[in-house]
Amino acid sequence: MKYEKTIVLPLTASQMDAGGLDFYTAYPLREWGLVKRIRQMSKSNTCGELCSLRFTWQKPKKDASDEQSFLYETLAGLIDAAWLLANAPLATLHIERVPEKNNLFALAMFENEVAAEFELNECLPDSMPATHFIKANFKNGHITNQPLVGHFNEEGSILANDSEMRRMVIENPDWDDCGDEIKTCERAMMHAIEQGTYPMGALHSTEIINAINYALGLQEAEIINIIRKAV
Amino acid sequence: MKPVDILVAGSANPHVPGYLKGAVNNTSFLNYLAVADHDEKRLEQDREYLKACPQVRFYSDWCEMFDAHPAAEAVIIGSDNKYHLEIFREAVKRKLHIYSMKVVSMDEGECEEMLRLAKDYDKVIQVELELHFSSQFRYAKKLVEQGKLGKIESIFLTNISQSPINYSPDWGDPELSYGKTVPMKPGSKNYRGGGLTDHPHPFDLIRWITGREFKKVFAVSAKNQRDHLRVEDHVAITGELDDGTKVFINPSYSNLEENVAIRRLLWPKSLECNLKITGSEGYYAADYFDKHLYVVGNNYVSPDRLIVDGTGRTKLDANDNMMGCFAACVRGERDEPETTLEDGIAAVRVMNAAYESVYQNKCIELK
Repeated sequence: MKYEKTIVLPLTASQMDAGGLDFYTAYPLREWGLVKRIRQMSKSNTCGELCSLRFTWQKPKKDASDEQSFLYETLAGLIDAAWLLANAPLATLHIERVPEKNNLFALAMFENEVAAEFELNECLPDSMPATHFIKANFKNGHITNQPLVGHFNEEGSILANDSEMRRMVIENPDWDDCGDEIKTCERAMMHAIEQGTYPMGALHSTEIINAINYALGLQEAEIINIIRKAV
Repeated sequence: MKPVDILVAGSANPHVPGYLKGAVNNTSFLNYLAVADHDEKRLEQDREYLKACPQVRFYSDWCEMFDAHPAAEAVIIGSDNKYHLEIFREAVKRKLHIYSMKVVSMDEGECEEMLRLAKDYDKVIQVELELHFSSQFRYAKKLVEQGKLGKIESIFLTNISQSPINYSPDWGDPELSYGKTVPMKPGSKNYRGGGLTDHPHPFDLIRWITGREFKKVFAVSAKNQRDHLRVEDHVAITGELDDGTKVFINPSYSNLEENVAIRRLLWPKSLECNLKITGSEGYYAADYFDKHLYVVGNNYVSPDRLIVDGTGRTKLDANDNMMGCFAACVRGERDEPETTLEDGIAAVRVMNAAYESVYQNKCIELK
């Protein structure tokens, strides 16, 4: 059987002659810039020896693939990428999958004791964007595109359903309406006044307002007019 | 509230200095009477933390401390994990309220003894599982309880830190942290007692948020990033709760620090504690540093490095924190602690199942 310049999926390739070199297997994640860069830096000993990898693959439901593609292209492709980076044969694979959903956690060990962790979730609410991260932990450093803070490199928590994604700053779990960190300052100030921890008096108001008016070049009559309106 | 007269038995736990430093400026809940530690260097450091509190006495033997302060009301058990049980026994004998650092013990036989001692004990026993007081995790619990996410299908929770072992070397000794020397895998040169022992939070938080118990776990452990550590610095765990919810946990020391005796992080985030809950009706994700702050300072806890820190939060109730809760329980202003001995021990059982899974390279069912 000939497969001249044929590109096949990993599932098909698994049924072919392992020694065959007349076809290609579609592992597009081998060409993911992140994978290539980690591999290159690993080879050049930028951070020492690789120890563990974490793959995060998340998509909204509306973009989810079919079950076969999820398991035998996406998961298989991520395992292939891990294998490439670990540079040793796969020794163990364990999968915990939400039944009938494109949502699973997997753990792999390679023969050189590199561990790979996989979080694949294509069940995010439709209001959410896809995210794809790798964190590679080495003996002398890290390489990653994973956000330093939060899940999109932004502060706060995320609460989402299919119609809405909210970024929340949960100052206090009893304050349901607090999604805005600056708005919570007002509530915090009122609480501090009640508790007696907020200073009384005009504070620096006179100096600040005068400075603004001076900087704006306002005349006395204009200032009187502004104050009259405010009070 | 009258401050609780409290003793500190051991300061080997890396969180104890935080309590002692707090004692200088916040005496509203606690009145520290004495600190005991058999390690001279640590005791000297404790003296430094408490130099503004001249009433505090220092002992190299915690039994001597107990004898010298019969009027004490409570004790913080802050020693190496290995000694928790014997201090616990003595505290019960002396009818003291107990605030135990986590983990209470990784030896489940010892845990059983603690539960027996605690049965019908009319004093407060609280275990330090402080993430119950983080707003974002409390909010997660509220969302789940209110059913706002629908049926929970999966939970991802990391508790990844730097290794504290350079500056708290006892934590790198498997005997002192795990209680005995048990290899991670047959023939391994790494032993139990590292990142997993140090991080009970995910196991506790998942139980607390969902109200469910763990049914099974499977775990792997990579080669150590730090060649000098005897204990493990990586474990990753998958599992299932008794309602079928799938879980992922990483309680590792995967964020690197410099190999020096003071904390100096290489990775700028000391703690990655990211929670993601996928439900049939919604999704919630939270980061421990949900109100982040980037700091570089020559006098900061990790000097001269870009560090991610948090800004804190508005406390509506002065007791809304670990020690405030404990003091309120002691004074009868609150019925029971937020985090109980049973909570701490339930987490330990799952953690030990994870260790066993690594050792046997198979899924472990929890009874």
